Amino acid sequence: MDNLYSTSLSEHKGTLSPAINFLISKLKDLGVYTGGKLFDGDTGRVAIPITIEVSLPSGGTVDDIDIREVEPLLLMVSKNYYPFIAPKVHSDRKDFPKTRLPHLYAVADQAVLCINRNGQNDWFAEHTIEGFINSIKLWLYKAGSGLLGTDGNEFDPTRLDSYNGIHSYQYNKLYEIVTKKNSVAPEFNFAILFGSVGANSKDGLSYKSFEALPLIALKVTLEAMAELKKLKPVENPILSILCWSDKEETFSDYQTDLPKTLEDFENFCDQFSIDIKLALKFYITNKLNTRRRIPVILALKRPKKIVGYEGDVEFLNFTILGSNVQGMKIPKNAEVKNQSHIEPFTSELASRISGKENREKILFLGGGALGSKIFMHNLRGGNNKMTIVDKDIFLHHNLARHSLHSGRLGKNKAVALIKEAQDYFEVQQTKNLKAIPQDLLTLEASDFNEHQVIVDSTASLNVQNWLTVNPNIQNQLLFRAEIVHKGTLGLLYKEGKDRNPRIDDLVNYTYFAALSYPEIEAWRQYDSTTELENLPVGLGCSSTTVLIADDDISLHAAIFSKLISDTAKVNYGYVYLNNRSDEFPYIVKSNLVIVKPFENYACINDKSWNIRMADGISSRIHEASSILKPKEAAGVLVGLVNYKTKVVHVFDLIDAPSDSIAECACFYRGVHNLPNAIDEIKKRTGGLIGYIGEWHSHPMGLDSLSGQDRSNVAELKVINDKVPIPTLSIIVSNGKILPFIFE
Amino acid sequence: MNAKIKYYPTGNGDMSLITLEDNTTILVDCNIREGSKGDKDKTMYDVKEDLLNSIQKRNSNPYVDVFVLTHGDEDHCRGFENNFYQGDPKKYGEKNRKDGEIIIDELWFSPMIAEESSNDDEDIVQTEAERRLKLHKDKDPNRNEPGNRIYIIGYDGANKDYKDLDHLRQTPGTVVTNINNKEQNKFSIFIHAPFKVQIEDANNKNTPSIVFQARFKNHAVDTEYICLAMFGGDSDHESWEVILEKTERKKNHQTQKALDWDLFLAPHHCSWSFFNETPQDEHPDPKENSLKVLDYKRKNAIVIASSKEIIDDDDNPPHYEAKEEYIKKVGKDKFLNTDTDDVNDKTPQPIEFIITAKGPSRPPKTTNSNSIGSAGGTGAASTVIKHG
Repeated sequence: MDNLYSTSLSEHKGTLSPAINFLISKLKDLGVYTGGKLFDGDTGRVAIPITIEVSLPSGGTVDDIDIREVEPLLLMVSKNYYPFIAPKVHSDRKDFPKTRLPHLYAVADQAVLCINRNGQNDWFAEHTIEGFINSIKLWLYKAGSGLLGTDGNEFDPTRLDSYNGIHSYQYNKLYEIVTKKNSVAPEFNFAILFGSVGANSKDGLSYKSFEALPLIALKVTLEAMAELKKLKPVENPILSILCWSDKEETFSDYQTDLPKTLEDFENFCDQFSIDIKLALKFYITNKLNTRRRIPVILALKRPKKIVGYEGDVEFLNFTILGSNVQGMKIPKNAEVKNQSHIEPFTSELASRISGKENREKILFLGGGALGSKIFMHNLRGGNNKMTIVDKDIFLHHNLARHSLHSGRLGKNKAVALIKEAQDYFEVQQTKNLKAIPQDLLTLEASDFNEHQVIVDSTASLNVQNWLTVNPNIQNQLLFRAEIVHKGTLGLLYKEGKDRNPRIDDLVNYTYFAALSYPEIEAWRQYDSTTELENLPVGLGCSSTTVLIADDDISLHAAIFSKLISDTAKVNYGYVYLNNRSDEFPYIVKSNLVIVKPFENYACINDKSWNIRMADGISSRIHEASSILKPKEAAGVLVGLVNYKTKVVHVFDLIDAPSDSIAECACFYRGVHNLPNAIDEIKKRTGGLIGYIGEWHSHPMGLDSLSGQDRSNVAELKVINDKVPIPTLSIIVSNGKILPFIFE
Repeated sequence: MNAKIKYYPTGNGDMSLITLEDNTTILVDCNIREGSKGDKDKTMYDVKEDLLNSIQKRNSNPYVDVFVLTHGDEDHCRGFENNFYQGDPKKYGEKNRKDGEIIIDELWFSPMIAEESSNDDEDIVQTEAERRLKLHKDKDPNRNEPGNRIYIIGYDGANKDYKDLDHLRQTPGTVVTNINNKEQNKFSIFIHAPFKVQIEDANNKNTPSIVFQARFKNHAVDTEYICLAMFGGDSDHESWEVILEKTERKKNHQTQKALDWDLFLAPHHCSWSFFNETPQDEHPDPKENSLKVLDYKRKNAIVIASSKEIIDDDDNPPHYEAKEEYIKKVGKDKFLNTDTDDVNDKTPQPIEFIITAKGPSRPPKTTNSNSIGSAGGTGAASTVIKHG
């Protein structure tokens, strides 16, 4: 059997570990090893010859590929590290059709089967030997049935068993250079790429390539590189060659036998009609070899789209060991090493990896602990269109829970976060990443207009008020994120369509929701009975996140980021409650509170005041009025007031007490049990929600306050001014809600 | 995705699922035993669970594109009432979804089931078919919606007359390419039976099954088929004699390759009735025509016996002698029995073929190969161990 590799291997004579002996006995039990000679493999491995019966289609193999009903294989088993290193599966056949199959490693002239895509050793640890053999059977079955390339009819790229360094570049960018023939000069089929040698590359074998240079730019680039070198930069610049064929021919075979010398490399390129000789001649003649190694990328046109990016050109990477004496010819026996390749971080790559399509331009108000984490989630998800506004400096105590690291200490938070983001997008334009290191109250209309989403993480009532009345927010989706109750409760508010419910509606409604949601009630109770502690850092921070741990901020930031990414899914307003229990085992529960649009009524007597009623309140008032008609009806309004925005929110009604008297021209609103009812609401909402006014009907159709009403207002105003709350009296007349307010 | 054919292990019963490249599914017969559901009985494969995992969902509602009932014997329609939705598809609701009721977009129905009533499930199929046929008779605007579609396979019997619905009829010799209102260009079905004479003679002791050939091409323009699979329900040697005669007389064996096969589902669960009259010992010689049908096999053709384990005993079918005849034609390795071919622990597994450009191929058998965790089944815990 001259066509078997094993015939050239020497018989293994030594002892083997108990684990390998067990493997051998198991292979015997499975009938794939018949007890023949073991061989010495390379680099500390023993080769166990096995035979696998292969299930093939009834009509023979697909595309007549030479996969046989019985395939001889060599299991290459590490003598020292088995079973922690999985056996490698080599075909024992010299004529195995390795160039025609995907999922094979390029290892000299041998075919090494890629049994499992990721983490061979981990996979082996999780499976039995029988499972391993079954996987080999499945691989061979698929190879014979034309089912190996199952990635949606895409071309599986060449798999490298070993490589020397990595070349990083954007596949789409190189694809564009090749397909548009963006060569260094029109008569050539190669481009010169500007890039750098990886900073952490000890052997100088890791490269980055950014842009193709035109001929006219070479001289000035070389001069600039020489100047740059004097400055001893972190990463030294280098020029690489990207070379392709001008023929339309596609290549479906895999290259497993990679060249080791320049002579081999030239022959290798000849197979694909790639004129590497001309490219190297150009490179040397123009003295582009500023370093000893010349990185070369070969572009091969494949018959299908390549797995992993949108193009049908596969890039194979090499370095040629030349000379850094510029212009010196490279000998034919110069060493050639193959390299792997990788894409740098780009927004497309990040989106693909994260499965996110977050392309909205986001304005972050506040770059503190919570804001920075949501910002970084978006950045890592591929969003490169973000603005962040923060005037604060990143100080030492911020290290406790901020996304930034110590290298950014002393920098403005907004500037530092944007710099961090720009460093991520090494090869991509970052003009849409913008820092505004100033007070957000100074933002102008243009700062808002260019964004689709606004995220307020300031936890500031002042900012909330400013946003509530800000005319520059029109079509943007406004979110507000805050963490309360010692970090146990995260609140994300999202405004509804046309800003209704508005941010103040949502925040205030959440206080009222303490009556329905225990986690909110617990927070309101805590806030109303506990004095907030401050960290001894001497900062006048108004944020209630001051006493929260980093893990709690991350807990909430992660889900908030996810919700903010889903802007397109819902157009209604909501409050998202993310709650963890206060004590071990910290059970996490979430609730989505959908908030319907509010009704807005400008006060009749003072248009600067607005009454905003939660959904259903006005219909309850109308209904109660019609029931008692022709008598008057009345009741008490439950809500809260904001003097800064001049808004009264009404969330609930309390029916007139049982000691009330209804008449046709008057309603005597009693008090029986009313104080208790109000006190209960106030208590449960931490003192924020309570009595906020009165309503009564005018069945006779009077659209204004009667004399009796004015007298009542005067009486109530004395009481209300002490709280203080304005005195609100809503009249229901002719089907209309008519609010009157007195400060 | 490649097309597939899956033969489910259901004991002495038939249930096969054809899945096309575009995920269109055609279920041929069903034999869903209640006992096979869940982990109640390890000796039975949970065909319902597998079916639900293998078919598509529309608005979260599971559906098969086509259900073909070859004939009404219970071992071909068991579980129809409990597992398939009957009635107006618009009324399919949360409860139906929860119960895993499968919508049949298009029902392929032989009028023969109207001629006899042997079991409740058969009656339910008949009722559902009648509901759909009425919509078509009444020209209901929803008659062509998924869940209301129907084909009549073959001719009418003595009891029912669907003459005014001939546009829904597919008769022997027809090639069907429109599957669930979608024209297929790489798949077709050649209808072989039932014949008029079979249905008119409803008292015929031999059940007149729908017999058809499923035909797969690699490319739409190809003239060759990459896989030909024969499904014959409980058809007997007399049926096949007629099939052979008619197909050859009309030259469909040449022009349509209508008798060729790569996969042959042994009729009536590997019964001798395919070869000759039963009892076998009184008619021990296979009919020439039956053997001739088998000779239309192509290279490496495979016979699938959808039956319990075939033992040389008097409990027939399956007939051991029938198995021997099949093996004479295809070889031992190419004769597969659904109950014994691939058994994982105690549970027989479906026999699945992937349709490749070079014909049907079988993925290697799979076993639970996790190296960590406890035993998948009860293992030794269910065995009495005595130590001396």
